[in-house]
Amino acid sequence: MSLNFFWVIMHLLIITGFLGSGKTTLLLRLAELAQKQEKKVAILVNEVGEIGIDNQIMKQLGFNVSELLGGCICCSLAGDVIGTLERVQKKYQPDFVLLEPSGAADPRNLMNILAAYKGIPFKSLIKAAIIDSVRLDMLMKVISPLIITTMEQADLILINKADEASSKELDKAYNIALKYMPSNKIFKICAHDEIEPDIIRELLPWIV
Amino acid sequence: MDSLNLEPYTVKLRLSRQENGSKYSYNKTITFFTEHLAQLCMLEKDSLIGHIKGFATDSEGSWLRVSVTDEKHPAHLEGRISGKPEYVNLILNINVLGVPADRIKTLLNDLINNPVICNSVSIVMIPPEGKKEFVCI
Repeated sequence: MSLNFFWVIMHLLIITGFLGSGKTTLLLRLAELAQKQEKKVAILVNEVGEIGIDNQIMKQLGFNVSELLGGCICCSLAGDVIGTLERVQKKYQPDFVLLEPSGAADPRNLMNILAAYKGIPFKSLIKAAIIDSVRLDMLMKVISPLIITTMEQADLILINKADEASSKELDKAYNIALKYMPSNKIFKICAHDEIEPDIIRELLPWIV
Repeated sequence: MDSLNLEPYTVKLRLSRQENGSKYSYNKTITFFTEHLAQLCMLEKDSLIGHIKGFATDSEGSWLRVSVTDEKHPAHLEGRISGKPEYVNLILNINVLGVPADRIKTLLNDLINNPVICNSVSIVMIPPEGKKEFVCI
């Protein structure tokens, strides 16, 4: 009974975004923050490459990491994600799970897969889409369906690389995001730097 | 531009200092190598860099993460190979849309054999190298 009580308070944050948009960098910032607050963090990371890189860095930094490699959890590894989530629950009993799908994942497919999840319910499930302000204009010309789906499926949009992008690129990214998200759920960030408290509260509303 | 296929290519490389390489830096070589690979990929017709990322480690436990998302900006670096190890292992995950994995392998081999890139550090591929047919986008 007491064990189940602890499981019930588990939170899930899914960070979606195209390859190279800054998912891993943001994830590491949030994991560090949660760890500082003495929360137990578990990370599920999915990479399309056959040898994981992000998982090795996370392990170097001392996080509990489960990796899903050599494919994408929205399609070729779809069957693995539910089982891995359940194993993470049992093995770590974390307060907080961070899920990073591959940068090629279709978030709509992922949400369909998660709908089949029959484990202990999450206390909260937040989907944050991170977009690359430097490349967004070009990506919208080449792979707009994936980028649009990523924004449509999210609860909030983070416009990353605000320090690298020109003001024109930032404005353009903001206006594109505005088509899919209300303005109070769009934030400009530099994932390499410290994330502002207001944005942290959106991502981790349970954190003190 | 038509829709682009993604064939992720993963490779393990070993970097070691050349006998005559008095002034060598693994950090600089890895950064230069990765940025140059991005430039070569973008010279391919209808290509788009998704993410080229690498993770280098040495036997002393130091590590370097390198990340490139386009050919115009310098690589993002995290960590550092410290000291003067005999060799460093580097895993590269190369996710470039529109460039088949076989072609990426050819570009890599060209870079490895380019004396300008590897003037003080030799680079060799170490098995197993990965190639996965994969289309998601």
